[in-house]
Amino acid sequence: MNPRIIVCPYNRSLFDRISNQILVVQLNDIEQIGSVAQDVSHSCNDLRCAVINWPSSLADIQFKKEWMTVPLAIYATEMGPFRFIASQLNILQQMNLRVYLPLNNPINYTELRILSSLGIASTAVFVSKEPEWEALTDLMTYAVMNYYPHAPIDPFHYVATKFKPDGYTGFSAVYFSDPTKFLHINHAGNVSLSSDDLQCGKFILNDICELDDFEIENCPDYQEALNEWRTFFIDNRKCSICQGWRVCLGRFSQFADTSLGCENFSTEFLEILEQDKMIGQKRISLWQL
Amino acid sequence: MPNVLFTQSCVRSCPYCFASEQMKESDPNDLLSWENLIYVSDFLKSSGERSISVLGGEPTLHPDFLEFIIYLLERDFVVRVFTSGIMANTKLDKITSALMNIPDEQLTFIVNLNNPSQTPSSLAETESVKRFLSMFGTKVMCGFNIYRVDFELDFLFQYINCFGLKKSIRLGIAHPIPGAKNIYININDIDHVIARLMNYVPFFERFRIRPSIDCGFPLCRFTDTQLGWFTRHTGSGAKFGCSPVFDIGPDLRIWSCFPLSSYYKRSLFEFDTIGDIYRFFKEKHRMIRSEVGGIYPECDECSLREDEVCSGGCVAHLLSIFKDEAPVRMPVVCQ
Amino acid sequence: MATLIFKPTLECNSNCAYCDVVKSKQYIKFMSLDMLELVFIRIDEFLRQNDKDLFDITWHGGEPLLMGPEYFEAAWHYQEKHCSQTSHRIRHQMQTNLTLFTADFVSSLHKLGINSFGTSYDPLPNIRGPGEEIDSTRYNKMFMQGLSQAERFGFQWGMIYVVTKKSLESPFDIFYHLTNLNPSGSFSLNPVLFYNDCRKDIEITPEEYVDFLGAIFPVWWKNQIRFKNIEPFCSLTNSIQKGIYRLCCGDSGHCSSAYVNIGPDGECSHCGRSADWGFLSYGNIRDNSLNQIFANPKRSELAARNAVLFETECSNCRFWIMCHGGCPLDSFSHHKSFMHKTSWCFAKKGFIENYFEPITGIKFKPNEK
Repeated sequence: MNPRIIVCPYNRSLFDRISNQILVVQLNDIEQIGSVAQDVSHSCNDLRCAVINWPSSLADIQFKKEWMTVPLAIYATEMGPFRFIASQLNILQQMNLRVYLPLNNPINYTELRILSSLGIASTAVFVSKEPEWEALTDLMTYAVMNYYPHAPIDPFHYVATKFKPDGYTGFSAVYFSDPTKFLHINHAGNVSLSSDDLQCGKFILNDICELDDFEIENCPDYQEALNEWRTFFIDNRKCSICQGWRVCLGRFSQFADTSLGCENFSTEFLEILEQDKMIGQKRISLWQL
Repeated sequence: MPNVLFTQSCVRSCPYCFASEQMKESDPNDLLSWENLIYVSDFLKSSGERSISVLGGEPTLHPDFLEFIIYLLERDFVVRVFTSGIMANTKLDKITSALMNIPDEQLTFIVNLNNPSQTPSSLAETESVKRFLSMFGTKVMCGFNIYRVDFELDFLFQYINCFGLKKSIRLGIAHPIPGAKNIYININDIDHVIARLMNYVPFFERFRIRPSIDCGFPLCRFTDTQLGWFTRHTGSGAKFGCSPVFDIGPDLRIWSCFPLSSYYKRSLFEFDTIGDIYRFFKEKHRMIRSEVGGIYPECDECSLREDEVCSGGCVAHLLSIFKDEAPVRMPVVCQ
Repeated sequence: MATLIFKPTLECNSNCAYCDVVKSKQYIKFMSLDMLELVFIRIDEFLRQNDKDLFDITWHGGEPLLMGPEYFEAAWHYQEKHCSQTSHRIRHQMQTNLTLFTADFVSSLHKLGINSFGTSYDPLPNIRGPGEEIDSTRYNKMFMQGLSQAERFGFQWGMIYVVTKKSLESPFDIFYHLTNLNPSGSFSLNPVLFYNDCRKDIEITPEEYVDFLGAIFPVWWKNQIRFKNIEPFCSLTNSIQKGIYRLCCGDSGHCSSAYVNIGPDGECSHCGRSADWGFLSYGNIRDNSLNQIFANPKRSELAARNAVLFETECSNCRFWIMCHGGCPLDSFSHHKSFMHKTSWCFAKKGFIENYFEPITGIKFKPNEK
């Protein structure tokens, strides 16, 4: 099977049952950051990142120097008071960190930008509430087109780096939910294509030990997941005629029927990506020795 | 060093205020946003600028004033804040605890002080200013605007000694706002102003305080002796330029300086670098001075003006003259 | 180069609204293996007698995948057996609706060197689909399934979209829907064409076709990197801007000598459309070699067409070099004679004059008479 990154809970005995894999480990407690890298390494696996769902603002976290080498994804509710972030900026800027903030709060659009401008990678998390499209467009434009160096803001930066002008560029991988790149396992070792599938008991394998001999390309659930996007075309849904389809792939489909916002945003996103690509191609690259 | 306005409203109404016209045209609720602050920071950084001046109105009125200053410091700017020093105790405590330990060379407050007897303010305001000065001491430079010929500077020396402020005074001269009616120093009174200023030489020397004169003073009104004193006492001499400083409003509109805030206002988005902005406004100044060299008739023939040792006084005076004249100037100059 | 439109069957699992094939009379539903073998014998014979020629086989129909994977395995076997010295000059392509494509076809098609498909699709309801009611929902599901399998096994694909009257209401919706499917090959916008038995509910005029193209053209012109390989825009732009003329059969002016269609019973016709419409028959490969078929005297009338049109209806036309009077079958359909220009003349001329030139600011100046 083509290598996938395994998204799993923090469970040492589970780590021991897997080997030579790349792991994204979901932590229960922030203090686990200190030990996760070592535990993963001891089990002969590699840590891609540790994910922590922090139930309040980023500013409430007391960052530690020993966390600096741990690749981290922190889901927080908001950035919090800037002066508290500023007091820890020295550490934050040296950390291997991505901060995930949800777009359920208008201030978070600004906070993502603040973090990025200070060299801290950030990621916008789309929630069930409809995004504020204008603010999202501003954020996206800043992420892709701002000429002054800043840390990436995903998913925009991710899409920009992988953008194919005549193809599709989705961004589910930013949230670890791309079945071509990630598999999800639970404490029991059951394997699913996504965390949603894992939660509702839809497994492609009953145990992680079956992974080595597993041909995922022949798995019907996998093929179904890969081709799910085609239902937009079969059903002639509004998304199928959207100019921005190539970078949305139906991600905002729940808003498409009631709002023009997602179409306007995705179309502009596509145009900005094309512009960015063109500018990049015009740059002269230094001849190599 | 460009100026960024955090707010368009103020806590005072100084009689000479040359920002009054700009504030009158603007919405008092107009505040600099985080997005615009980030844009300005990026713009300045990419132009190689490491210093920034923060203005208003009164910048401390901004609800995110402290956060903005901390942000600018974290972006490695050397920050100067122009303030009245008037604020509530709670705010002062908050600002003090956050900014007290910032190195003096990175953060300066230029507190614009009015003479308590010549420009009276309420007791509360005066006490507020004194509290500010006592909290920030070595981070504070006094600023004073000369708007009347009989100005008095004594109180400044007292404040500097009492509160341990920086040993320098930034002296500005009130200029006209073209088309508006503000209090300013008439060009015929500049000689008196300079003479009166030089009367304070013993104070400057005794207290070892350095004066710095802001833009718009004409060179020719100083004697060689006076100029020599400035050079000896400040180490670098006085400067007699009048060139664009440029101010950036909360909505990122820009203008050359406050007296010229209605003249060729533009948007920051129209420019790529600070250099482009300077060149733009410098060209506008040059257009004005191609009509009239300086504030005095002799400026037209002055070799020092031609050699740019002196600018020929504040260009706002010239535009004021044009506005009151019959329309004889080039239209593009009198826009 | 010789091109064979090869129709091993005229049967189809769909009942597309504009298709003429299923309405033709035919007696042999599927080409026998004996006949298939004879085809390859004839091809080898032709290539030995024409040692510089290449031979393109376009599998067509009906729906060629109805033949099943074993049939293509057999085709490869016959090619290996009878064309061992000439197979390097044989190239296979396939035009299919993809609704029947499965992994079972992969091996045999790859052996034949087929790595891409031409296909057709319509998002509008009741244009393409099986049954009297033309069940497009069921059809589209099957199409997507087949397409996903084809892409999974690395097949490229291009698409023809047939513009009908129903398309005219929503050119942009159709354009974005189809380009969002992201065909790896070209995407052609072709007008619906009928012979005799026309369908008024879906028939369009050349003017309507031109306006359909003209509505979409500005979007394509502005975003050529995003929308690659859209025909007829790409080839017209290449012709007008760069003087590169890659013309389809009907516009080339050379179709008289290079094309042949073989049906399930071995009957040869000039091309796929002439076979569907039932004229220009050249005999059966049982009795004739391909050389004889390519030399059939009926082709001489087609060969004379260029010279006649150049002096008559098309004289002094600046678009001659990219059109040559258009498809002779269109002319026959309208005038019952080949010696007239296509009734679709305006489709190219009108588009260039009314849309291409004004929008791009580029005037077409032919560089040869």
